[in-house]
Amino acid sequence: MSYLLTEEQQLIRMNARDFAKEHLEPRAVHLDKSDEFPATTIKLMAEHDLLSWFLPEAFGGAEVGYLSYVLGIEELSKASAAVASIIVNHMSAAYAVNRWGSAQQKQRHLPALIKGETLGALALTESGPSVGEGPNAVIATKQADGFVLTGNKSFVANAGRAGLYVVFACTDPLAGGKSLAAFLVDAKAEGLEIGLKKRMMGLRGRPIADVTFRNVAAELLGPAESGVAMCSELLSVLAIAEAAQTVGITAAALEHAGKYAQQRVQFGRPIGAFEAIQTMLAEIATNCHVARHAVYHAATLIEQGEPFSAEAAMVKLFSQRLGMHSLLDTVQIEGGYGYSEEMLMAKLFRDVSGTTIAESPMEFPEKLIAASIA
Amino acid sequence: MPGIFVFSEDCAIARQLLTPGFELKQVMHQPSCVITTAIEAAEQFIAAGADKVFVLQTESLWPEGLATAIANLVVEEQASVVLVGGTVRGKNVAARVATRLQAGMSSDAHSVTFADGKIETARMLYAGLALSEEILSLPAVVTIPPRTFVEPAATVRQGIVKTVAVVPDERVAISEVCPNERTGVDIETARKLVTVGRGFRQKTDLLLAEGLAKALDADVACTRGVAEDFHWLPVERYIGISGRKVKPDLYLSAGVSGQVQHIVGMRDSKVIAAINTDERAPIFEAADYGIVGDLYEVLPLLTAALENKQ
Amino acid sequence: MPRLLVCYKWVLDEQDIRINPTDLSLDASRAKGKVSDFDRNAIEAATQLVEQLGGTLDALTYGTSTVKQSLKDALSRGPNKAYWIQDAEAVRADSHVIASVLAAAIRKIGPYDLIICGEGSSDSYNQQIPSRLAELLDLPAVTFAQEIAGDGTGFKIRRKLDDCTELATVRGSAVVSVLGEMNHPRIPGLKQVLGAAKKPSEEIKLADLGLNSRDLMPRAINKSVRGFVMKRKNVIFKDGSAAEKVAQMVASLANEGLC
Repeated sequence: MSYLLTEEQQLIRMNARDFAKEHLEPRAVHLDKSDEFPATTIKLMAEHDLLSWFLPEAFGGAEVGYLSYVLGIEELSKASAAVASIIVNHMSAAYAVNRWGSAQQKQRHLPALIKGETLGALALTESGPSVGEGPNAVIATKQADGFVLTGNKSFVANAGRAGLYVVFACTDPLAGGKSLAAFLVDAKAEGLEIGLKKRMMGLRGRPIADVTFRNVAAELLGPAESGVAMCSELLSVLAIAEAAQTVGITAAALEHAGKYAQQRVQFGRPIGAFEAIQTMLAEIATNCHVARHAVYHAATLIEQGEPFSAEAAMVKLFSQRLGMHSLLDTVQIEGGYGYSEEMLMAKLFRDVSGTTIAESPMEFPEKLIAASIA
Repeated sequence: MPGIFVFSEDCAIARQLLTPGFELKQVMHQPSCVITTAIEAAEQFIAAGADKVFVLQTESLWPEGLATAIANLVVEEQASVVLVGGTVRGKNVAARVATRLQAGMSSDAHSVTFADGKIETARMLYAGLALSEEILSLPAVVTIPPRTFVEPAATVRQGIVKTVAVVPDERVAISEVCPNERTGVDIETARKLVTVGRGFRQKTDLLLAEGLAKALDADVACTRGVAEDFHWLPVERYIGISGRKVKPDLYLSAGVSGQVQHIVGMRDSKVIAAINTDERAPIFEAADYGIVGDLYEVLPLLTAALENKQ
Repeated sequence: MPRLLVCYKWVLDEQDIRINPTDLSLDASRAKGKVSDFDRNAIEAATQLVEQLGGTLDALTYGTSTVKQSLKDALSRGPNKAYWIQDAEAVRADSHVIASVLAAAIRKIGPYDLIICGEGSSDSYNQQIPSRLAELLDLPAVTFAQEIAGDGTGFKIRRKLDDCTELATVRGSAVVSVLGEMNHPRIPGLKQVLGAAKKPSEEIKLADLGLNSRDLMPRAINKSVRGFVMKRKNVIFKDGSAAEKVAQMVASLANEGLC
């Protein structure tokens, strides 16, 4: 792996940055306040091929490497984390279809996903102690011509706007999570009920709701016995993209706080001249730099077909800390302004808590990492 | 006979250029000549200091088409310096003339002098971020923005007037000439300006600024956003790098943040004052005097205080 | 089917340039390159014309070694092919030299029905190239265009002048410069960015252009460049009631003889 980005990767990054500056930045604050799905923006992004990324050219995708995708997500997140999050969730569903779908399934779903005609969503989290356990667990029952799903999924991002759901369900209620398999569910399927849109602390504008399945027709995606492995891989892939989001949000916060420190004068000097502030900013910048390159490295492993689950977990763990610690500091640097809802920093704080500590349907990464060392 | 040549399709601008032209004439010991299309203005040019006036005989609506005739003339006369009024048309003509002369050209110069056998000019770079000094070997062409110089006082003088035949350029036909809407206010000549920015919440609130302008005997100008995005004022009222450049005795702004592109348009003002709620607004760095406060509170008080003074 | 050419310049982003406070010199070490702002408008205008009228669009640029970085960026914005001329001396080139080089290149790769430029480069903003090119190529120059329309027989160009707008109808070829306000350059889609790599680009060697030393010698030389810094009194009234601050301001203005 080369340590430097190729010319193409740099151009892709610049392109995402230009798009974000032009179309996402001016609307980011309004989106956060209205919490309304940015349909026009998503349509525009589809027209710019920003819903296709690593998906195959044969179906109309840009077929860029995963690292290029991650570069794009970082830039988009810097401007509007909510919009980037919609894309990330869409792309993880598309990843599953592309990775494990039959030729027929790919033909049926990928073109629409790429064009943005269908938005993707990933349904995994449940209210029980873990996926596959508890009274609400989604159970898949085999029928003559497919499967039906019954149960409840919580906190499904893009729910209500998605046209296609990738759902993980248990094929054997007694075996629970060990019998996990992946399914494709059409949003228009009978018996599918989208709950009320939830109002979340951050990433506002990205729809999120519970989804109830009452004997909903579903199509098996990939081998039924590989569900656990598929879920694990998908979560690792998602973790890397979410870490890129965190890096983007942190970079935005760093830039904002840095400018603030240069301008805000206290006791006769800009506060950026005080050692305490300098230390904070230096730490954030350093950690952001390290996280960024760990994310790029993990993405490159995916591109090159190398194992990446341990790196994904490490990147997730590191970026969780990066996001929360950095934003606590940047809020503090901006003092009253940082705490005020009128200013950007409060929104960045709420957004980063969404990409880090909340809503990430994955086991604590420490376990995974420890297991990889042993 | 080498000379200092001046051209503008606008006679007032051409007369302004006779001021730097006169300076060069003194130093370079060459006659100053004006090229014009207006025969009726010839006398005024001579009174303003021209030794020779060349009148181009043309009815053309397209002064740019005169470039060939002007180029031929300055080549024939062996002009050392050609000063051209920096209007849209003037810049086009000047560059063509420079090309014919195989000469260097300095655009939008705000000063032009002669030293060590060369012409030296000063102009802006990087959208106003920097100032540059250029040296041009002779012959040299320089365009100067209108109203950089004041025209010389008229005196009783003698001069020569020559007419020059022009072959019209048939390749371009001009039609549908639409004059810009004029409100009668030319902010570039106003002595005092009250400038409004996006700190105002709605169009009717501009009345506050108008009240202040009246108390100050000033005209109202604005930032680019107010004109081009909000359409609260006509585009000829906006100050900025792509708008008007003003240098009044007093520039007083309210609700203007002070972005570089705007500052470039007003930084030659004699006194700059600003009102803004944000003490970190860049306008305060560009200001002589400022009030950190809400314009909705400050403007009425300021207007009243100024009215009381009178 | 018209053959169009757009000329563009790769410049330093002035937003990245810093002024050294000690001696007011410019620090461009962190400045990234970009296609000059108004040239983007020119490329957009040219691309739209080709979309409407059919035909082809070439791009032409002259600069130092950084010019190669610009090609994919320019090609992603619409042109079918990019021509480039690279020379270390380009950094010292004035408008006379640049126009000589571009005109010689156009004589080689042309002729074109329309040559489109931006109203001026975002760094030096000399606004001379379009008219100089026109003079060298013996074409009319129609500058400061707001709208360009073609109908197969020629072009109709609406220009914005200081005090009016006018319609210029051109028979035959011309050089046009476009205003920044003319259009809003589209941001290329991801696939267009990738597609740029597949579009052809061709180097034109300076030595093959048949220029003599007079053509290549700058006639305008930069003597000095220094940052512009506003030195104002910076007397800012921020404490006290609004009435008190107003009183202080009025007193200051009175002192200046302004009220």
